[in-house]
This record gives sequence, C-alpha cells and structure tokens, in this order.
Amino acid sequence: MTPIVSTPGVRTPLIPPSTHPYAEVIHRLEAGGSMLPDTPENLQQIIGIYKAYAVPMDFYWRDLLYIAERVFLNPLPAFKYFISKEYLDLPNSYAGDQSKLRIWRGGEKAHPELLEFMERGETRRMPKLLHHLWHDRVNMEFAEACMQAMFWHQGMGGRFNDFLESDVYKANADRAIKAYFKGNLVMLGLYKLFPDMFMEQVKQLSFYANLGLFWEVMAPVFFEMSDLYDEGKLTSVPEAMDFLVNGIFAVAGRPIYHHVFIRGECFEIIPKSEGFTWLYEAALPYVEAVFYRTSPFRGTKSYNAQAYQVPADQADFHYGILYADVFPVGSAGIPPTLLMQDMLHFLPPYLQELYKQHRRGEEDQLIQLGITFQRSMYNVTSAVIQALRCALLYPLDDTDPEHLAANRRFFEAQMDRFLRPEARLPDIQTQDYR
Amino acid sequence: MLLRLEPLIELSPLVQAVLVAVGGTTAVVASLIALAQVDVKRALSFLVSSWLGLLFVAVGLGGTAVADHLLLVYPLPMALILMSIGTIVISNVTQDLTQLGGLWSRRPLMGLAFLTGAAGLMGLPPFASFAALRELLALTAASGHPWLLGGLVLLTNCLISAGLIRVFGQIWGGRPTPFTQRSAEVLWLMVLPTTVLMGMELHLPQLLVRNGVFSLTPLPGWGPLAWPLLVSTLVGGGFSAAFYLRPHGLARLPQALSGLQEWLAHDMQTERFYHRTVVALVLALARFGAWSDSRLVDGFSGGTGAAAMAGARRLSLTTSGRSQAYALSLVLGVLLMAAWLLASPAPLPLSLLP
Amino acid sequence: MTSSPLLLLLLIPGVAGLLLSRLPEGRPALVRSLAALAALAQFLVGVYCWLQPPADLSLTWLPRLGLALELGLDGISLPLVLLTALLTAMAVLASPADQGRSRLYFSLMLATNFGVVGAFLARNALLFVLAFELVLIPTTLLVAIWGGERRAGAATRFLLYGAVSGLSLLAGVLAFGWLGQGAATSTVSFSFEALAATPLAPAAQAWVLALLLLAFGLKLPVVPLHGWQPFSYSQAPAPVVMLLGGAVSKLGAYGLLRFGVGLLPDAWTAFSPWIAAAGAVSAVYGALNAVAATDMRRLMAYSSLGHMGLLVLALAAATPLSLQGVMAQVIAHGLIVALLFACVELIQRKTGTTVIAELSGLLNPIRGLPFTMGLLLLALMAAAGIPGLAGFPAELLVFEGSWTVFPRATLVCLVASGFTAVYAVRLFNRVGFGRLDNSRADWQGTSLGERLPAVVLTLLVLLTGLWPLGLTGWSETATAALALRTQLPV
Repeated sequence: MTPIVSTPGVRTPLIPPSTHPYAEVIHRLEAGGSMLPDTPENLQQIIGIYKAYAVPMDFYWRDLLYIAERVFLNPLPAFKYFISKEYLDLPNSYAGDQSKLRIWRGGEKAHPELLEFMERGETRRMPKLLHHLWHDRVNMEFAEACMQAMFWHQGMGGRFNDFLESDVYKANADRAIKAYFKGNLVMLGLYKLFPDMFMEQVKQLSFYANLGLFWEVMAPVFFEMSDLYDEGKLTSVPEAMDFLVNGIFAVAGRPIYHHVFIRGECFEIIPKSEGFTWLYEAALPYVEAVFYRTSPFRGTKSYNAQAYQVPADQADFHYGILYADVFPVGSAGIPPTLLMQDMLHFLPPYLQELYKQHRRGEEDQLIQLGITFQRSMYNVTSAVIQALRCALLYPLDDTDPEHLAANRRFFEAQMDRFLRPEARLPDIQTQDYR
Repeated sequence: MLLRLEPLIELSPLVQAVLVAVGGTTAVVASLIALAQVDVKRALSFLVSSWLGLLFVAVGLGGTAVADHLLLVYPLPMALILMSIGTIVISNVTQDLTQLGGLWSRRPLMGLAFLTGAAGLMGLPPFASFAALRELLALTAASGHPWLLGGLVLLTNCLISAGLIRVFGQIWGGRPTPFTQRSAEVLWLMVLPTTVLMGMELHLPQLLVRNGVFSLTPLPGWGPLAWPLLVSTLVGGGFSAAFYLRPHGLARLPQALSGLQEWLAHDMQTERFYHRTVVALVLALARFGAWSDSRLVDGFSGGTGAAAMAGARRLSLTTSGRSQAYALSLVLGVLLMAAWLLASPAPLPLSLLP
Repeated sequence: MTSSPLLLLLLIPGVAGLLLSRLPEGRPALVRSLAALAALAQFLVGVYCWLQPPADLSLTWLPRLGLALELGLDGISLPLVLLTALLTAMAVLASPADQGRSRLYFSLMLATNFGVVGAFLARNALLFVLAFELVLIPTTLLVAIWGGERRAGAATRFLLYGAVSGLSLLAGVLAFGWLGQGAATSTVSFSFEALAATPLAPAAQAWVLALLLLAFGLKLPVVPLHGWQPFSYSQAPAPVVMLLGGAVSKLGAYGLLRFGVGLLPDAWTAFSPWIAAAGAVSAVYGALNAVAATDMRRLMAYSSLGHMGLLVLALAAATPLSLQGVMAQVIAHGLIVALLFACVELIQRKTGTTVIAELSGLLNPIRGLPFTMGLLLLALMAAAGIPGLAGFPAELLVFEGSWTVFPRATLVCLVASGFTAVYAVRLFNRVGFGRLDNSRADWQGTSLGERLPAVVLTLLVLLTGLWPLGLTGWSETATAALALRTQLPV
C-alpha cells in the first residue's frame, strides 16, 4: 500500500494527476481497473456477450485448424467449412479432463449449443449443404477476415512473421507442398513455374493455424467467466479483467505451431521447437491487427485513392472494433455484422431481456449487441494492456514515483491511440451508448 | 442508342462533325487522364471513356459496322481486367497504384488474366480488338481528314496500351511495398470465374471469325494499315513496360511535370470548373430569390400585418368598454343609415327595400 | 330527390363536424376515426355521383340578393370534390392519435372540407363567395391554435391575405353581377347561367377580371402574392398543410378556370400574356427558393408555389390540351403535396425536427426511417416530374398545351421544372444518406397505422402516373368546352 502522510486509511497519490484528455480512464487503469467503467450493467453486458462470442468461437478455432491442417492447399476448397467429426471432437488443450492446465472447467469437445445450432440453424433441420447454401450457419468468413488482417498487416512485432521468410520454413513448406500434390502433374508443374504463389498460400495457412490456436484458448476462458458470473462469483468489471489477465499469463507460453496432415503423415511446417509463444506471436498481433487496425471494408464501398481515403501507413489503420461505427454503413473494419449475427443466436436470456427494454427492443438487437461487444472488447484490450504493463513495467502498487511515472507514460501512450475522433472510448464511458 | 440513331445522324454533316470532334477529343484526353491516375479503378474507367470516344468517331464517320465491332470486342476484356483488379484490391486493401507492386511472383494467375484482358483491348493481333481498331483506322483513312483522324486513332491506341501496361507494371512489376508484402491468392469463388473468363477471352477471336465478323488471313483481322496499328501498340506498351516493369528512376515524374499530372489526375479540373460556373450560378440565383423573399415579400407582409395590428390596437383604445356607449352608437348608426336610404333617390335598386 | 347526393356531399362533413363536439372528452382516437369515416363516406358519395351523375340542385334562398342554393357537379368539379374528400380523410388519419383538443381540431378540419366542397359544388357565384370566405375561418384557427412556435404571426398573415382575397372576390363577383345585369333587370341573379348569359363590356370585363385575379392569385398563390404561403406552410401542423396545399389552394385554380376562362373569355385572352408571365416567374421563383431552403417544409412550400406557376401558365394558354393539363396538374399536385407533407409529419413526429441541417442518415435500415424515406423519395421524384409518377403526365400536358401559345414562358417553366430535380435530390441526399447520429436516433419506427395515409397517397401517385387517364379522364369534355384557343400555332 502507498505510505500515508496524515490519516491512516486514506491514500495520497505519489505522483500528480495526469493531464491527458483521458485522465479519468488512466487513473482508473492505474487503480487496477479497466477502460470500461465498473457498473453492474456493464458487467452483465460484457459477460453475456463473452458467452455469446465463445460459442461461435468454438467453431472458428476448430474449423481454422481443420483448414490449416487438413484442407491445406486444396485449390477448390468448396467444403472447407464442412468440418470433420474429428475436429468437432478435437479436445481443447485447455479445457476438459485431458487438459494439461486444469484451471477452467467446461468440456473439451464442441459446446452443445453450437452443435444444436449447426443442426437446426435459424430455420430447421436440413442437410448440411442446404444450410450452407442458405447461409444459415456460423459465419466462418468472419474468422477468415480476422486471419487475413493478421496476415496482411506488417510491423506488429514478434518473430512469427519474419520466420515465414526464412529458409527453414521454405524447406518445410516445399516438402509439404510436394507431398500434397504427389501424382498431380498439373499442380506440380504450376508449382515449378510459380513457386511463390504456393508458398504464399502456405504462409496464409500458417496464420490460419496461428489464429486457431489463439482462439482455442480464449473460448474456455470466456465460458469460465460466464459460469462464474452465473454462480455469482464475478461481481465487478475489474474482477472480470483480472480473470482475463490471469488467463493470459497462464497460457502465455503456449507453443504456436503449424502441423499439416497429408495422407496420414504429419508435416511440421512450423514445429513446436521453434519456440513461438502464444502471447507474443498470437495474442498481441491479434489485438493489434483485429482490435485496432483491420482494414476498411471493401464490400460496400470503393475507397478513392485520389482522395487518399485509405491511410498510407498500415499503422494508421483505424478500422478495428475499438473504432468501429456499429451502424452498417460500410465504414467498419472487419464487418462486425457477421459476428453480430453469430452472437445473436447465442445470447443469454438476461441480455435478451436487457435489449428488449431499450431503443427498438427486438428489432435492433443486432446494433445493441454490437455495441455491447465493443464494450467487451475494450475490456479485453484493457486486460492486454494491464498484462503488458505487468510483464514489462512495474506493479500498480509500487512505491517508487519513478516507476509509477513509467507506468503512467505507458498508459498515456496506449491512450494516445484513442485520441482520434473515430475511437469509441468516450462513448463507452456512458451507459446511454446503446 | 447512338448506333440506332445512326441513320438520323447521317442526315446532318454538322452533327457528324461534332460527333467526330467530341469523340476524338474524348479518346485522346481520356487516355491521357488515365495515364495520370493514381487510383486503379479510375485509371481503368477513363480507358472506358476513351474507347467510347473512338466509338463516337466511328459513328460520326458513318461506319456503323465498325462501331458495332468496337462495341462487340470491348466488354469481355474490360470485364476480365476489372475482375483481376478486384481480386488484387480485396486482398491488398488499397486501390492506390503507388502502394502496390511486386505481385507477379505471388499472383501470376491474376497477372495473366490482366494481360489477357489488356491484350484484348490494345491493338495486338490476334486478339479481337486489333481487328476492330484496324477497321476504324481504315475508315478514318477513307474519310475527309485521313492524317488527322488516322493519327488520332493511332495516338489513342498508343496511349491506351501505355495506360494498360502501366497499370500492369505498377501492380505486378516493381518491388513489393508494405501493402503487398503479403498477398495470397484469394477465394476460389473469385479466381475460378476469372480464369474461365480468361479462357473465353482467348477464344474470342476464333468465335468472331467463326461468326463471320472478321476474316482469318493471315491473322484474324489483318488487313490494310495493320502495321501502323501494331507499331503504335508496341510503342505505347513498350514505353510503359520500360518504365514500370522494373523500378526505374524515371518512373516518378520530375517535379516540374507533377503539376501536369495533378491537373490531369483531377480530370482537368472539370469538376471544379463546373462547380464554379453552373452550380455557382444556380446557387447564387437561389440565394437571391431567398433574400428577396425574406426581405421584400416577408417584409411587405410583415409590415402590413404589423400595420394592421397596430391599427387594431389603436382602434381598441377608442373603445371605452361601456356597453351603453356601444348601444348608443349602434342606434345612432342605424338611424343615420335609414335616413340616408329613405332620402336618396334611384341609384340603389328600390327592390332592396323590404 | 335525385339530386340529394349533392346535399349529402355537404351534409356529411357539416353534420359530422357538429356531432364531433358532442363526443366525450379525452377520446382523441375515437374522434379521429369518426372524422376519417365521415370524410370517407363523403368520398364514397362522390364516387356514387361519378357513376350516377346527379342533376343540378337549385333551391331558392335569398332571391333579393341573388343568392340561391345552386349546386351541381360537372367534369371539372367532380374530381376536385373527390380529391378534397380523399385528402381530408388522409389529413385526418395523418394527424396524431393523441391529438390535443381533438374535437375542435377535427371539427375544424371537417368545416374546412365543408367550405371547400361547397365552393366546388356551387353553381351560384355568391354561394361560391360565401363558401370561399367560409374556408378562411377554420383554416386560420387550425394554424393559430395547433401551429408551430411562430403560429400567431403566421395565422395573422394568413388571415390578412385571406381576407383581402375574399374581399376582392366579393367585389369582383358583385361587380360582375351588377354591371352585367343591373341595368337590365330588377333582381340580379348570380347563378352561373345568368352570369354567362349576360356578357360585359370589355372595360368592365377587365376590371372584374383584375379583381378576380387578385383574389385567386392570393389563394393559389402566385408570385408576388405569395407572402403568406411559406410562413403558413412551415408553421401549420403538417396534416393541416395537406389540406391547405392539396385542397384549399385548388380553390384558386378552380376559380380562375370557372370564372376567368369560363365566364370572362375576352378579358382573359387579353390578360393572358401577363398571366403566363406571372406563371413563369412563379415557377422559377418557387424552384430557386426551394433550392435555397433550409427547412423541409419551406422547401415543399416553395415547390408547391413553383407547381402552381405551371398551372397558371397552362390556364393562360387555354388550349384544350393545356386545360387538360390544368386538371391533371390540380389532381397530381394535390396528391403529391399531400404525400410530401404526410412524410414530413412522420419525420417530424419521430425525429422532432424538419430542419435539413439537423437530419441525416434517415435511410438507415435499422435505426432510421427507411419506409418513410422511401415514400418521400417517390414523392420527390413525382414532384420533379419523373415518368411513371403522377407529376409527369401533368407537366407534359401543361408544356405541350402551352408551347404553341407562349413558347418563351413555357421554356422558362421547363427550366424551372429542371430545377425541381435539383432541390429534390439535394434534400434527399442530405436527409436520407450520410451517417445517422446514433446519440440522437432514439425514436421508434413508424407503425402501420401511421404509414397508412402516406401509403394510400403513394399508391395513387403511382397509379395515376402509370394510367394518366385517371388524371384527365374526368374532365376532358368539360375542359375542351372551355378552351379559348385551338392547339395550332397562331
């Protein structure tokens, strides 16, 4: 605790208050809180949406690994979303009895609500192909869009990106490619002519694996948080954030790898021995690419280069969920609409009740839950920021003013990224933002 | 529609001359503007304008068959080009040519698709447009100003070729940029149709020959004036290839010419011109109308209204509020009116009296 | 009596208006429904009259004054009566279900209807004047009591202009009667037949027409007599403006057609170049001011002014085709302006404002007003004269009919018609597209009941646009009989 000057029990700050425009938020962070204000409704909203997010996420990570490891270089992967039973039953490395790290309860197989949705969808029981064509399924395209954001953005730190240019990687990939197309003269001939085209595809598949392994961890974390809240053991937003921080540190060292299974044989394109860790190679690039940057959505709008409508520098991109305008006018990055529709199917009842009471009730649930999701992702970002601060800097209750000043500089630098007008940080400070 | 109106147009030499002039100017200027564009979609769309300018020239010179052919050979290559560009934009986010580059090794299929489409638009035998352009050239040679119009067609072809190869070079040639550091081939649902269309484009000349549109000797569409056309294509394409396929010092325009590039890139500032003249005129008139309405009309109405109210208020001051006074004035008024009616002779119809 | 339908047309709104005040207090929805039913019943009687044309009704009333209850329907007044009945019903339904002081409000609306229909049915000039004046009171009250912030000024101005219009009309009609018949007979009859049978000297005609032009020009309105219109249209409640713009202003057109073209042909032909010029000026003035408008209601008021200018041009030309255009424009414009203001009512009710700068992104499918904006788009397109909607055949007939007589004025009106596209697109661009401000978008969507009047009007606009006979079929023979010039160029 901080040393007191006059009265016991009263804390006097060791450094003067911040003068940053987001001073209030920074002080909250320094006190161990989150960027999201601590109110019961905020807690209810974010826990509910974590659960609604975790169910499709369970599908995303399984299918991402399925594509990275099995579908691999299939030139016409029309059925890449038709996940095999093996991957649906693939035990989650961090949940269930077989897990090495038994801190989260929850089953290792696919969540029952997910299985039920895959069976019925919004309509009724139909053959899988019909569900797929009618688009009454989990929007896997969202996961692929997240992956593409991570793949495309450069300069986000970590060694993973650079490893993909190395000779070791190229040699591994070469072997896998040749094995995959064994006997296919057309493809092998094309590979001889244009090796880089195939290499680039393998790099993209490595990122599929990266993201799949990342989300494999996040799903049980979110399920656990939802269970704790239902049991009454999670009572405030900072507690939720701390749970995330602890989870991040528990899994920080998880190896990130890319194994491919071709005709029963395992090809290690990125072996575990390369030592890529979950925190630095998956989590941080993910937060940077998906929460902050992503890209302007090119599906509904054309961005005039003459008017410099797209920033010239990738680091300037501000289209992620933290900046997104939830109204569907094509200015968001990864369109939250795909994810929002997924989450709509798995909302817990207390959230549905909440949404019925505000704005247009059931009609605009999508917008309301999109904004809730934005709040929750600010909470996750706060957890990442606190985790980084914990790893690189000093404890929050440090007594050295120099250390506290360093912490503050770190927080202020993070808050600087939210100074631009598109940032939603000021909006989430009030409950009215729905 | 223009083609349908052709018989009508033939009746007026003035209209024909205007068509040729407008079409010719559009063809050359639009292709120049296309060369100055930084946005890939704009670079391609100005080529569309240029091509249609050539079409206008054909109609103006009375060559309906030529115009038909120009229209026939154009959609497929253009669609192919746009599809391949589409896959590039969706994977690499930007439409800015200066932010793209070095994609050949990783996106060769789309590069080939683009080249096929481009060849279909430049005058390159045996591709389809060569025949159409050559026919146009022959038409201009037979017209009243063979050197001017023929030169115009050759120049346009040269510039179109330059523009197309420039786009190809800036996207697929040169060195990778941060935006093109990672560029994997996109969804099969986009690539497959593009390659199918590429196949169709490659077969287009044969299709047209089979249907009797062009003749087959020795290359589909070969004939008089073929050589100048081919040379113009190679010159334009060659220049662009030299500049853009490899990173070249001269690929960035010298400072002095950047003003020209800006001017061309902004469509010769026609939009600003339009804003300053037509739009400004309408808005000024509108503002004058609004001013006159609020000052003059509203002022007059408000003034009369205020005057009426003031008069009413003044009048209300004369009332004493005593009913006796009112009753007295009523009775007096009626008596006076009765007296006047009785006393006055004919002017009023007597029938009004009860 | 075979002519009882004509009396019914008047009795229904009259009696209903009186009965509404007997209803219990605090049940505005009930009052509204009954008022709508009354207007609808009137409409149905009107349809019956269309199918079974009733004979003229003639009851003596005050023979000494020359005032008789002479009612009749012909090809010109029938569509106008139907339009009035329909617009009254729509205006009633467009009013909020929790209308304040509902009994008085809806009674006044029915009283307005009573006056307007009475004027259209009248075959006696003094009766016409009586009905014309009668309309002034309920409309002024509607503006004064339920209007916007500056309603007092708007109502005063409306009343003053209306009073001058009424006085001028009275003077003109009286002069018409006395100067024409006063010398010959002892009692003056003001019935249309009597007036038509006694032509005036050219100088007298000119004076009478001048007075009538002032009266009806104030009603339509025509520049420069339009001072009351933008103010009143922006202050009055939108359903009231639906009536004002759609039905009451048509009294001016009807009067000019019946009295000017019908009863004073020589003076009309002499004055027509000036009238055409006034129409052209009105059209351009209205369009330009609409371009500069910052509030949606003022924009639509000026748009209405512009369309009335076209109507006046067609009246001035007085060829068979242009008079068909007059009738078409009357009906089409009545429907269009009512639809525009129905949409404005919905927008105002939900968002609370009609200032263009404060609105944007209303087309947003989830939190905007997409349905209303869709109907508004149709209305704006119709106002701009897009083919397939009601405005196009009307404008086409007007231009085709007037082109041979007044080519330059027609050209000016064509340009003005082009300007309508400018302000229509600008308005829709600003209000519909763009980003919806989430912090202010806390309104609910429109319900089916709220949308009903706008939907009905849209369907009619579409129908008459695709089947223009619905605009002109009623009155072709009547207008052909009134025409003063042939179609061929002089």
